[in-house]
Amino acid sequence: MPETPEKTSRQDWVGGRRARYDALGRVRGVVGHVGDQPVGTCAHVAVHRSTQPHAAIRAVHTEEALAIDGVYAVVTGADLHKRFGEALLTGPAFADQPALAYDKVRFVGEPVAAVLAADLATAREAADAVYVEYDELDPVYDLDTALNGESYVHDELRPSAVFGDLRHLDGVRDTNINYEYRLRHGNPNKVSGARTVRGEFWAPPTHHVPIELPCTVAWVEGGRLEMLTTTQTPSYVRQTIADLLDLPLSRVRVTTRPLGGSFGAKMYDRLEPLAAALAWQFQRKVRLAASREEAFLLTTRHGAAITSTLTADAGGQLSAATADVAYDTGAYADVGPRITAKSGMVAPGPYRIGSVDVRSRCVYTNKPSAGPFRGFGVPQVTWSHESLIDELAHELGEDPYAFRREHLLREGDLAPMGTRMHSADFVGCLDAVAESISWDTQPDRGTGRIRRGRGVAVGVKAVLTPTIANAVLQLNQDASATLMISTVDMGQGSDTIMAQIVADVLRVDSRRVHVVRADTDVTPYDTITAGSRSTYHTGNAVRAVAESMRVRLLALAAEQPEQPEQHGQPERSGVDTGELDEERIAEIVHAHFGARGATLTTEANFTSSWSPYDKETGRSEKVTEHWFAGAVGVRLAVDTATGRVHLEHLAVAGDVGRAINPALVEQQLTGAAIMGIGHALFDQLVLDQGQLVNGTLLDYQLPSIRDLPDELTPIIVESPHDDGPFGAKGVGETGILAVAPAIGNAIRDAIGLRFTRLPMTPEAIVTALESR
Amino acid sequence: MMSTVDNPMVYGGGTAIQILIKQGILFADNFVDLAGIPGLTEITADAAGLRAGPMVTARGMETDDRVRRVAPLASTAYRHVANPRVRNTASIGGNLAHGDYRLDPPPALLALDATVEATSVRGTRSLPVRQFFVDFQQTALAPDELVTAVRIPAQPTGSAYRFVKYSSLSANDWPCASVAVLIAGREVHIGLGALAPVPRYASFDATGMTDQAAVDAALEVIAPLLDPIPDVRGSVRYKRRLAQVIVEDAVRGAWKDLDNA
Amino acid sequence: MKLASEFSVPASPTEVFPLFFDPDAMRRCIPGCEELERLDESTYRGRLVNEVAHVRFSAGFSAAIESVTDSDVKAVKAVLKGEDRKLGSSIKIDAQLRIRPDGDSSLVDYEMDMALWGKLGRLGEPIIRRRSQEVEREFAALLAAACAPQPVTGEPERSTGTAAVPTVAPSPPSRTARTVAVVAAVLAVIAVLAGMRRGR
Repeated sequence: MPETPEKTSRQDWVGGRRARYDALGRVRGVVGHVGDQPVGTCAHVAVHRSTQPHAAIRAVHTEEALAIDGVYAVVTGADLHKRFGEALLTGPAFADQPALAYDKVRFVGEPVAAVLAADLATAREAADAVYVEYDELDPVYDLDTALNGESYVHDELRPSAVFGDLRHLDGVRDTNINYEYRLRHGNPNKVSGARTVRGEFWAPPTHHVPIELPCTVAWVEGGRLEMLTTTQTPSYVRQTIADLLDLPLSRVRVTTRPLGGSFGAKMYDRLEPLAAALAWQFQRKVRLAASREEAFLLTTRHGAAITSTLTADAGGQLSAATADVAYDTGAYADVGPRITAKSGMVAPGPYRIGSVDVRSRCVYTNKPSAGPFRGFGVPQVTWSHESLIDELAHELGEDPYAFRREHLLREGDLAPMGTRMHSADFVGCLDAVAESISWDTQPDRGTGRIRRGRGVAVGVKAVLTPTIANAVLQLNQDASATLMISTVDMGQGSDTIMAQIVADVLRVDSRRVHVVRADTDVTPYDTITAGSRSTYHTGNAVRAVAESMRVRLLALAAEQPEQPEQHGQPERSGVDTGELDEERIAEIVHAHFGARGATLTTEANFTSSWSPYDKETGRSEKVTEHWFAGAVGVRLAVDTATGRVHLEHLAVAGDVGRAINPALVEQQLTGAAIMGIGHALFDQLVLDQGQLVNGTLLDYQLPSIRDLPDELTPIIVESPHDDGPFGAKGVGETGILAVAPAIGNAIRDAIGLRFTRLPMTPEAIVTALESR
Repeated sequence: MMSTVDNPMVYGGGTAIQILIKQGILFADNFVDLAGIPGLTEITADAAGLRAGPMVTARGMETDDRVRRVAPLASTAYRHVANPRVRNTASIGGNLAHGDYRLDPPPALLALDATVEATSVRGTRSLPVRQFFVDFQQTALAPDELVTAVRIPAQPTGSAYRFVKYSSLSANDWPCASVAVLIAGREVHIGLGALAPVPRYASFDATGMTDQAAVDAALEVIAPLLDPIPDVRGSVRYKRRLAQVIVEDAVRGAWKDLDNA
Repeated sequence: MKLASEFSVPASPTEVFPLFFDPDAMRRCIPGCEELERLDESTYRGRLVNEVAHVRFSAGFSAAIESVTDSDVKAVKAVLKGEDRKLGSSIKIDAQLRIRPDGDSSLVDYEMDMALWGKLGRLGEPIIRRRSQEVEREFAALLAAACAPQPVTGEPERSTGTAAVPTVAPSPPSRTARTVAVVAAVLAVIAVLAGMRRGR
């Protein structure tokens, strides 16, 4: 989508509000997504899915399916297992998920067999004709059964090679707990508190519902496996496929198109292992496209149960916090163990607390697998700690805003998990939202049917660490540039801000910087596009690669005789001032190569590091590269007759260090807040005995334009990070962390009732009012 | 034509059929598209009321001046259907023939005492909407009958009305409860949606009543009609409660308009 | 999903109860039941066939009796399973059926914990609840007819003699009773399938 040319201006550089380069194309539907790409002749794939939550597979009957006209092949999990062995099992934390189930099925809807056919309709018809005989096993429908029962979703734990610190779990049997993180500091049990509040919290599983559906096309060319797929993690997928097919990385190519949203849904192993296995097995092009209903089964957000306490001593200081957290990861661990630790360590909240004791567990059940979701498990524990501190403030007769403010971690403070705070301005965020919703003005709470209230909440999350980012920059002789990174633009605008960073360093128009979409043949390794890590990590790599180019240009210029006659302003033409502009760059490169159209190339790497958790205490002096700090303030009205909550004003603040592009930051904060509103009020996956009952867009609830607050205010807080590119950090998740508790706290303020289970539906509210 | 193809299904706007096809639970071999048949998209108005063809869109009913003038309650109800994109496609005949218990137009058509023209090779008959919804997703249409028109009597001058739709989860969701109230003369007509396996109708004479008495009478007359189906949108208990709230809101609102008229 | 209901049958429990041991009687009471056979002491297998809007469907089901109580209140617990391959769906029902006297009549009540897995599972709770009521009504009516002292008129095959209810019950009451609950439940699902296919 060409943009209207404008003069180069600071708007295009760091701090500028440049619109996404592809905004118009996305809105008008002319950006080509994976599913839109013509694939030519290929085998369309449909899968036959389990109708049992937990059962051994006795036999898979494929004859009837094979007999259907237009069917090329029918493949069972056993076929693939025979061919690929244990490599068929993949996953980012545990190698526990087969592309097709072969020994037993672990959730309703799990793929058991795949059909390759001339068209999708035929493939689906044949998939329906596959018939499986099962021997039922005791199902594990919920956390309670998983933790206390004697049926196990997996016979033994199979930690993957990706995370070395999980190795001790290898081969552990007779458990549904695949990972436990423990944080201990001080002794909470010995603390004699003046006041303790306690809660049993529940945040249900939810689904990401990106508008673009997952789709993967895989083929074999020149003995290589090539793939075009909807993924946030092309580098990860390449490694997984190479391992699965036992190929060198150079013989696997993973490419993407712009994603139409993802929020964690298109990460790690989704359709890709099956597509690769089928393409390789049959040496032909295959296309897998998930329907909306199938997408609901691919991955979900973890449902989480949290039993927690918060204690204040006689002097009003926070003396102790405890939390027992259980993440329901469903049939496969996916990245659940990582979520369990990263979220468990912030379960006490961003406060100065004397003693903490957290147990956080990741638990298998017979449900669709849960994986990464915007917030990476943190919104669930934020629901707990922000409800607790609010309740504690009420109990102590303190103002919930002022009480938080007094106890929030400040710059340089050591958080309960042992890491120091830097560039995490909780107080600034909280102040900003409180001011925005006029905290000091008491709401007209009302006495009749409509009651009003206000609430605030704060959130803290660590950035994914350690991770690796690489960038390659090709500067063209005409002072345009081609940037090669493997960050995936899924609507967040990464391609736009990376161009802004390059342009800022080289002093060129950012629209002259093209960002190459991820293609593992071309773009360098990048851990993943997730966990709000790209602006900081890849941004640092991009800044470095541009700086390196700048140094290179200046060095070339220094070797060249001055040509002052070409420049009206001699002070800008030399190396002395270090000034570059498009004209000057063109001259330098042209002079160096003596040719138009030549290119200069530089590359750079940025890698973050961490200190692993102490085995005993779970603490770490550097558990993360940096922190995200966010806050939400809400004013709302509750209709006590219907239970409906109407949001009058919602303010969401995030400390982003430095906004590379304030417009995009505001949009990220806004989008995350809207998603959070859904989670607070109605969004949840409903399961009945392992069956997802609302897994269609007819029944699954998402916020619509009419669910938005009357006023929605995104607020950028900038507390620059010493090592961030221009001081910047990411923002994709910051806005969602504190939404649900802020709304819960405002409901508490309006009607005097504390809700501990999400979502807070009208029926839940009316029921609570009636039983008061 | 319907008799010449295997396993046929009539295709109007397609907004319901497409969903069922996508979910893999509708197995029709042939679709007979009504869009090409002339005369099915007309709206005519006379002193008695409106006659609308089955392929008139929900959007058409919402925006047509004659509908707005002659039967504003109907226009209002059609405005509450889904969203503009769906309303531009959904046909009013299909909406009725679908027979779903929670669609928006049926409560209004019940209150207005609309009639359905059903046509087959045997001829055309007229079915009162109040007898049209037989059972859960089942209408009085015979398998070979087609809705060929909807007749809506003109709202009497001096009448008042309200359409109230309440979604319990996302604001754009299906209704958890909906009600159409028409007060004409001193007769109060109430159509209920989503509160029983079929849209339901009740009425009472409000002669001499105060607004509160009318509300009480309305709540009494709807009580035996409530038979809500529990689902993710609410339990039976909650839906019954909502029914009372929206019926009260609708009757009170309409009554107020009547007083102000 | 839990379903529970009760209905009345105009005959005493001692009259109603034996009916449940007669596959033939049950087959007649269950709308659409074409086959119902006893495989061994505690398992049954059957097939339900129906045709709605020109679509014929057929679903197999099985029932396994878990326990039988034959006292004043007669009760049976059973596990029922059904499957519709074309719709990629299966059903499992833990059912308990009880019969107790109510004047001259019997009150039959049932509780079912129904798991519905596959395509239908995401469509159907409201519809299943509704259909199960219809099936229950129909079943109750047929059961009442079967209990009637006179053969139901207009059904010649019943007048041929053997179908008269009271003569049944060669098998010990402790074994067969569960088919009723099974059937009603499976039937409900079948009816759902039918309804969905019709695409209303």
